[in-house]
Amino acid sequence: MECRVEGEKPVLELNQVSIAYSGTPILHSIDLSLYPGEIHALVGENGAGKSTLMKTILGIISPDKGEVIFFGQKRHHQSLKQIMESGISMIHQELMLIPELSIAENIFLGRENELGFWPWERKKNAQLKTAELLRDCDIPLDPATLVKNLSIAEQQLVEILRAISQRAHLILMDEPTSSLSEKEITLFRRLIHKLKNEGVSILFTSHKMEEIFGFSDRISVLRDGYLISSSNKENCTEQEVVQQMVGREMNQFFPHREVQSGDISLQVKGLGIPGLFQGIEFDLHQGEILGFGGLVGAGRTDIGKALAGLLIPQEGEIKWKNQLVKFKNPQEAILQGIGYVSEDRKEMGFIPEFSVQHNLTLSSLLDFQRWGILDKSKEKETAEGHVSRMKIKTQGVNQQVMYLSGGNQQKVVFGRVLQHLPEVLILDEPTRGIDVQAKFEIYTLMAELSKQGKSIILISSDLPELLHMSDRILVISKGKQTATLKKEETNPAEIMSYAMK
Amino acid sequence: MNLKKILIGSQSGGIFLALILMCVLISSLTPRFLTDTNLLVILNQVSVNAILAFGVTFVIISGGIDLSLGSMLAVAGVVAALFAKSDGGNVYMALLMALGVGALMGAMNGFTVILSKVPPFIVTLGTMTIARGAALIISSGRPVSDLSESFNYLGNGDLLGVPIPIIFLVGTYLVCHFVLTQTVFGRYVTAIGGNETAAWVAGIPVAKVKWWVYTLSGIFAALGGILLSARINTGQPNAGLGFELDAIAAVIIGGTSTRGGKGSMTGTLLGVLFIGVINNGLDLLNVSAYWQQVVMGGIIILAVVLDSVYQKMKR
Amino acid sequence: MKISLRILLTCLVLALAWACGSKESGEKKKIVIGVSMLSLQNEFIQQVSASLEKHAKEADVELIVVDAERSALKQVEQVENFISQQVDAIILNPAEFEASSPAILRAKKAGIPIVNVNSSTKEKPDAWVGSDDAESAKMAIDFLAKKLNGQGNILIIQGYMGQAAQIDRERGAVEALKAYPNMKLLATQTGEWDRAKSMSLMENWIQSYGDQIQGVFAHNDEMGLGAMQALLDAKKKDKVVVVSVDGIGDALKAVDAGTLDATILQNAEQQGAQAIALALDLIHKKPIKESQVLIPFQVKTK
Repeated sequence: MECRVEGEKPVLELNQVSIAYSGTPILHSIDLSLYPGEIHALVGENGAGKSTLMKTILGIISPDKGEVIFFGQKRHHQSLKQIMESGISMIHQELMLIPELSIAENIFLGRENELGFWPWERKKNAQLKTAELLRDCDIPLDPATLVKNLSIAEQQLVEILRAISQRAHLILMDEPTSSLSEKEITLFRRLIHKLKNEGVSILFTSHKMEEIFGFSDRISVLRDGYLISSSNKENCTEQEVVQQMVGREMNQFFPHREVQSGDISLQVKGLGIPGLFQGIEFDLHQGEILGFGGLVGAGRTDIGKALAGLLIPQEGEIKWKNQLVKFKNPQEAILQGIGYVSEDRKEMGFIPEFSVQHNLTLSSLLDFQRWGILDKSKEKETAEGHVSRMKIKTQGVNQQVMYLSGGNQQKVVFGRVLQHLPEVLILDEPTRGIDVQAKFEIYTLMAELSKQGKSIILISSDLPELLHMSDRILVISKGKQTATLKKEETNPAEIMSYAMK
Repeated sequence: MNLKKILIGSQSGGIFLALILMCVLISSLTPRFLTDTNLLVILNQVSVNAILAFGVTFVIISGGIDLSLGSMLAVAGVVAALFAKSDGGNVYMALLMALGVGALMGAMNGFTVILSKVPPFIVTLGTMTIARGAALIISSGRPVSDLSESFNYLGNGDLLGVPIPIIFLVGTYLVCHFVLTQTVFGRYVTAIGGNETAAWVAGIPVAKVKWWVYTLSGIFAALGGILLSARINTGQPNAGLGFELDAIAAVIIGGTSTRGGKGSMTGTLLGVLFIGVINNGLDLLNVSAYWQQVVMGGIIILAVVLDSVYQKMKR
Repeated sequence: MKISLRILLTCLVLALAWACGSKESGEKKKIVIGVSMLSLQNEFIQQVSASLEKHAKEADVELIVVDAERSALKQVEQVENFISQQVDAIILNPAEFEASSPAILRAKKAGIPIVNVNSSTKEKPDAWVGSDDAESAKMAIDFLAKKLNGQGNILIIQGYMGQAAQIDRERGAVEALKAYPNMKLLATQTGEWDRAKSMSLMENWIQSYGDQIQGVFAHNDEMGLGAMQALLDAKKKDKVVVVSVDGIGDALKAVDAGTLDATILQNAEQQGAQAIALALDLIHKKPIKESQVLIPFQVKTK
């Protein structure tokens, strides 16, 4: 218990907190405490109640039973402004920045009166204070840059800076690293330790085991609204945590698969789009899983898009079943048997207002019609087949996809892609932001698909995932291919060294 | 479609209630309202607006907008009238030419929207002015009259006691409802409105579908133009001024989302009837001309507010 | 994208300027008269315009006709353009009573003679040709009274609310009705000068008043024809007398066919002829006998 001094009072205490939404219990008598300078990981599958718990601590939701005590005071339902002034701040999974404002303006949004009276005075002070903050944290950004010109990862850092500048005693972070690359995670780690040394407590959620064990002092596991365990990091293992999360034994996180490769299905030579990537060359075999490693922004996503018809390559050639192909749009790629799962699930993966059924059949609708008229019973049958086979958790095939959890949304996207019977699958960050159970199911699915002889390109920033699932790994750095490594012969350090080359 | 489904299951429940309330209110104020002849009159009067509204429902569900409806209607109405003159005109030729002209203008809208990436609001605003000018040029600015009896029959005749415009109204409703809910095309239109990028990535021919949506809107505007010309026995180059707003209002009142991705033809039909009933009621009650506009606007805002409250309560 | 749009716009403006300029630099010996009309979408106004053109041609005068599209602001700008083109005279068919007045002031200030045709403005022009709208309404009501023997129920369909012609015709009708105590005004409503709108209005009235309706006065022929159509469809036309104002082609045909009972003919031909004659007199500085020329209406019946 490195962080606890005997007799020190906790910053935050939860006593028997219970919450129910319209009769459905979400949290059951949660007891939890946080001490100054403690970094606390809250883990659990999606739907376990993590977000509700965080919102309760923040004060957006009042508990039905029990109490939340912060610095000895009972917390009530509060307005956003009161919350901001109370010393707790929250970093949401969806970014809450205003794209048209600068970094400095975003950081001091709503607190401009701290900066002086006159607008120019405020502007100057915001600029100065932000510059100082950025320097302190070793982030090489200009305070005047507009947020819309930042990458998602940089925006995430700005959110964290905002919380720091509010001098919060407790910062809640909902999956803070889901869109950060390895390099930025290192930066993030430094930020966290800086905060810890200043005595700030942090409660964060994450699905990545190495972060959960790498950052935190204590780990609490939630499952179905119950607090299963809350123990110091030293006293538990990865295996145990996963087991507690899913509630059953999970022998192996990554499914076992035998490396097998058949004939060449996709051949890529000298592929390039000026400004994005160039000189990409590889052969993809049937039944092979080829990993794309590298930092976020290295061009991996663009290569995937170029293979799936979302971008049109300007150099080089793609040979598909020994024939040159040039896809002008995703439709042509799909008709040729190329399946694509985007990293940007919300923007490119599904139609939010469509039902599960309608999303599942969207790419293969022409198989469910005659003379343009839909055969809805056949459609429903197929959709129900996917739902039961992939264990999609939904109230039924008519449930709108926007109300599903991230993991189930991703399963729907997979179902849609598989329904158009692709022979090659390009998967861009297929397990980002989804819970452990769904992750495992997607890995199993990938193994099964490769066994059926389908080729898979796996673009991933999650190194364990990349190493375990791929047969070979192509490392991309700054738009160029820096290495092609065999799974058995490489290790994370080697991949990173090529990724930074 | 049963009553319960309309009230609870669909997006149009709120407007359905508002329509019923409106009818109850008006019939309590005047006994002239709830008579079968008056109801036929209302259906007859709303037929043109309904046909325009059905066409533009596709556009709005796809996430677009079409402001050129009224002008396209005028062009088609004038063209139809020119080919349907009582001396040597041919009704079939008139229909064919008018619908063709409508399709052509709609196709131009679609083409420009897809290629230029200029917002459809601007593109169709331009078309609105161009088409109005075209209507004046084609007709030399004068109403085209002396139309053949068989053409006028389309607007004023009846089939087994049912006025022809009402037959068109019901027919287009059934066709549009079917296309939107039961066909690949309808599904594609809704998907594009829901998330255009995702629809494109999923392999939907987005450009083609959008082009068709605007073309359809042109064809429906032309059909409206033909009926209007036949109803008033002239092709008027200044016909349909502001009709696009009536049609769009009906679509929105009917619960179709302005952002696209959601909507129904039944909702649009109810929206059209709602506006028609208010218009008719205000005349029956002899509300002063100045007040009519105020009352009309007030009721529409009230209906939309009620609907949004109702939708929230349902959740 | 933005920049290219701007360049495109600049080119467009330059091209337009060149096109206009080249027109202006043409021969200028001929007498030029600028004409700004209320709306060339209105058939009656078109007839006036046609008459102006015809008489200008006869007098070997060049006519520049522009359409104000019912906008007084546009009309004032058009007159300003005429002034900068240095036309010899201006004929104005005012869009609005008050809002078009600045056009008169500007022309007078520039010393260019200006003649109003068909409607009036608050500011008095050098000369005025037209007909009294109130008189046309009175004639229509008199006609209805005569047909109905001084007693019966009538409806009035008004023009676009707030426009000079609507206001004057309404005033004329109300005054004329005072002479017939047994004529009852059932309802009055606007048809916005539009045939389709007035047809819908009449259909609704047939529902609420049914057989009580004996006469209809519409402020213009378009609306009269719409009401007539509604009555024909309801098979009630033979019981109702319909009269309207203007005397457009369709209305005259309907009168001949016996479906429209009467139209109060505004003499477009005479208005145009007199306007050109007055403008020429003013240009040649001839003394004019009367600065207000009233062209009488005629009742056209079968």
